Formats: sequence, structure tokens, C-alpha cells
Amino acid sequence: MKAQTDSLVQFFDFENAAVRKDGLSALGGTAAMHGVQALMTAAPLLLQNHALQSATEALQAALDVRIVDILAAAWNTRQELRQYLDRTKFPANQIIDHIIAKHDVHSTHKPRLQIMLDQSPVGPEIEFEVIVGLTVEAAVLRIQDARIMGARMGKIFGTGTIKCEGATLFSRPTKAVTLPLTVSFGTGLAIGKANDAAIAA
Amino acid sequence: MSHTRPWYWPVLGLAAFLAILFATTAGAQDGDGRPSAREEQLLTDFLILAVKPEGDDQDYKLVEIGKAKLDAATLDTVIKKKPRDFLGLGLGLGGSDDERSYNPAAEAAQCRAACAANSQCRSFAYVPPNARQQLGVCHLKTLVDATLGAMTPVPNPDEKTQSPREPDTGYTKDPPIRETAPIEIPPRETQVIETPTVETAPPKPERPRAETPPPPRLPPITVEPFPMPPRMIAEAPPRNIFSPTANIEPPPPLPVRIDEPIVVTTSEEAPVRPRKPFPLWLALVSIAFMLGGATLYSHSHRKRLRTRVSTRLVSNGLDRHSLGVQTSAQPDIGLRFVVRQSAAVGAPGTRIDLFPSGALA
Repeated sequence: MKAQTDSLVQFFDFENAAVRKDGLSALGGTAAMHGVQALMTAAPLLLQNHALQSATEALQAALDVRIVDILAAAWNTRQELRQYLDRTKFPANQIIDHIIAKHDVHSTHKPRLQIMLDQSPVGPEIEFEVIVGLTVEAAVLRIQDARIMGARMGKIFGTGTIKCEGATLFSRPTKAVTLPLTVSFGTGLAIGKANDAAIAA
Repeated sequence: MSHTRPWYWPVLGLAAFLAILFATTAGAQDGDGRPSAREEQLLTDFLILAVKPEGDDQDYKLVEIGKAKLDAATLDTVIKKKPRDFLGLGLGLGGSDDERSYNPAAEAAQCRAACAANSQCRSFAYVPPNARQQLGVCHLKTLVDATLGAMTPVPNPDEKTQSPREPDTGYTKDPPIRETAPIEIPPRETQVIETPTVETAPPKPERPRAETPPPPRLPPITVEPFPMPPRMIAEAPPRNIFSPTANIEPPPPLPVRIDEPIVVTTSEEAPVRPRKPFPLWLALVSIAFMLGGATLYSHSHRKRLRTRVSTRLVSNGLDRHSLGVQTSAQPDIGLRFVVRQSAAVGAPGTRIDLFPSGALA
């Protein structure tokens, strides 16, 4: 069940010290961080170095997005699933397994951070771009009462990059994503509502 | 003088003022300490006391023998009329009645004290005992009111023929007393100590000096030559010690061998305690304790410093999340299954209907 809760932190191997160090050095070379460090010249060197560390930790918090949620949100955008909204044709007690053949899921979101010194903002906000690409061999969505109750997935391959001001901070080559074969969405995701919260059981 | 400095006259004036002030003060002080000549003329006896020895030579008691001035003969008569025990004579001091040792300085001090104790007294005169007067007499003097008439002061035997200050006024307050006989007092035996003020100390009598013994007789000084050792007569010419060929004898060996350690012994041999070495484990523990403390402090300091910097997550970006699902070019071959009955697969009445979907439909 741990794999079901894997997020983009594990996807980008953010907890790896070597990967994190490379990302920190790349982040320190951006113009935004140069500006922040210029504003913190009077502060001790320890604080200047800690600003990078703090930004990385905040980015890690922004990457706390489960992969299955990304997949569910992506599947929910399929137009073919909207047919199950017809209750006369698909009654509520009817369980439908909808099969999706091999497909690619693209996800992009842009978290924004603000470095603070003594509770005061230092410099402008720093925007990151998190790009995730997932290739799903096949997936069977269990649908009931116009809700996606769960899914069974085949092999998934994923790649992704985290950029800041055009500079790549973290990059993940295309490799298999460890996810369970069966994923349950609890009470289910309402079809047609993109931002419906999914609770994994 | 035409070009005087601006501070010349003020300073000169100030100096003159100070000089006048000093002279005035000095004159006032001189007038206070000593009676003037006019006051000395108005001084007269108002109380005559006899210095009566009691018990010891150094104990005295002043006995009143008159309240007005008396001349020397009258005073002698008054003293002789007094009982001998009243005046302290004949008490067996030393066994002799007439011979009595006295201390003029102590008796004068008694007289001075009597004057100081009497508010009417302005001056006093002490006459020590002599051949005719067996007791020391203290004259306490006061001022005579000039408006009533001046009194003649007590005639001092020495000053009777010499004092130029004695005025002849023709009348006196005291009843006239005739001199019965001329007084012959050797000047060396009469010592009149008269001080103008109470504070003036009388001169102490000089102690008789002991005769210095004659210097010892020394033998006559003779001069003797200091005996010198006889000079050696040179038998050979002196050697040139600076020439390299000179045969110089080597110095004698040192009495102390250097290679041996010199042991210094002291009279007080203190016990030498062997010093215990500092235990290694204690040193290591101390070092570890210090390092631990330093590390803990550094860690705490860095932790507190890091709390000043934080990063706020403004947005996780999911509000502008872009998602897309791109299917491949392959046809959708998915199937739709409809379960009519319960999922009890082993049931005989189970029927599963398969409806094709996608491209096969």
C-alpha cells in the first residue's frame, strides 16, 4: 500500500542526497536566487546558505502530489467517461469496467515559493515548473454510479523535470513507476469534476 | 610707565589691600594676647596667696594671706604672724622646719591655675621663697577702675628702685602700710615670674649640669713605618708570554669534576612527594565533555539562526494544473462487461453477457 501513496517526491527521487545536492546547486545558479542572496548580503553566510535549503524544502512540500491522483485526474478528463453520467442507461447499481488502452498522461503544474527573512519577504516569488509524463500500458476503470471507484493498471513508465526560470533543476529519465495493480478511490471520483478530491483507501 | 599692561593697576591694588588687611589682623592679634601699657599700670593685687606645701613636696595648697596689695615688709610680717602649721611649715618635711625644698615651676603653675580659676584675675606674680620670706607668694592682680582712682601695683623688691612704670598718684585704695625696714633681697634668690597672660608658660629652671670629666690621658702619638715584605731580586729576564714559543704551564685541574652531578643539600630536607600523573581517562572525559558542550552550543546556535529564514509555499500550482491524456493511434479494443447476477462464479444460474465496445462494437 505504500506504493499507492507514492508522490512526486519519490517520483523525482527527491530524498536522494546526491540528486538533492545537484538540484540545490542548479537552483543556486538561477537569477532569482542570486537576487535573494544579494539582498541577504548583510546576513550571516549560514543564513544565505540556508535560504537554498529552505527553498528546496518548500519545493518538496509542493511536490507532495500522489501519482495516482494525477492519473485519476487525467482519466477524469476523458470525454468517453461522460456517457456514464446517464443514469437511465447506467443505473447506479451497475458496475462498469471501462478499459483504457495504452495512453500517455501529461501533467504540468507551477508551484510558487517566497523566501522569508525574519517573517519578511526577500526578493520576488520563485516559480517552478513541474512536468510529469506517464505512459500507461493499460488501465481498467471501475465505474459505478457515475463515479470512478477504482482502477487496475498495467505497467507505467514515467519521466519528468523540474525547472526554474528555464533551468532544469531535477530530471527523471524514463523508467518504470512502481504502482500497485489495483487502486481504490474510496467513495469514488465523480466523473466530470476535475477537481474532485480523491481519497485513496 | 606710559604703556602699562591692563592688569597692572588691579593687581597692584589687590596686593595693597591684602597687605593692609594682613597688617590690621596682625596688630589685632598682638593686642589681644598681651595687655597694653595702660592696662599694666592699672593692674593691682586683689588677692595674695601663700603656696602651702602639703604632704609631699609636689603637693601644694594656696592659702589666702591678704586681699590687697602689700609691700614686702608687711607681707613678711603677715607670714610670720601666721601659725607655722597653717602655712605648712614645721610639719616635719625632712625633719627641719626652715629648710624645705621647693619647686618654683610647680608653685608658679599653682599660681597660674589660681589666676585662671578666678574670673577677676587679669595677671599674676609669683615670688619664690627667699631668705626673708619662707613661703612662695602668689599675687593675683586685677584692673583698677580708672574712674575711681588707680591703685599702685604691688612693689616688687627688684622693681622698687628700677621700675619706671610705677606711677605716683598720691592716693591708693588700700590702706597705707609703712615699710618697717629696708628689704635686702639678693637678686639671685628673688625670682619674680610675672606673665602678662595666663597662657604664657614660665621658663623652666635650668638643671645643674654635671661636670664633664677630664679627657683620659692618651699615650703620645708615635709614627711607625708599616712593615713591607722584602722585594724579590730578579734573577732572570722576564719571559714573553705572548710569543707562541713561550713555555706556559697548563692551568691546574679544577677541584670539581664537571661530569659528576652536583648535589646540593639543604639543611632542611623537605620530603619530596611523588607527583601523581593526571589520569588519562579524566583528561579524555574532560575533552569529550568540552567538545560535547561546544557541539551542543553550536548546534543550538545554528538551529536558532536557521529559524530566521523560511520559505513560504505561495501555491502548489495545482490550481493551474494542466492535464492531458493522449491515447495512442491503436484502436480502442476495450470491452464492457455487464454482470447480471452476483459474482458467485460457481453458481449454476450465473450468466455473463459480454457486450463489445470500442472499435469492435
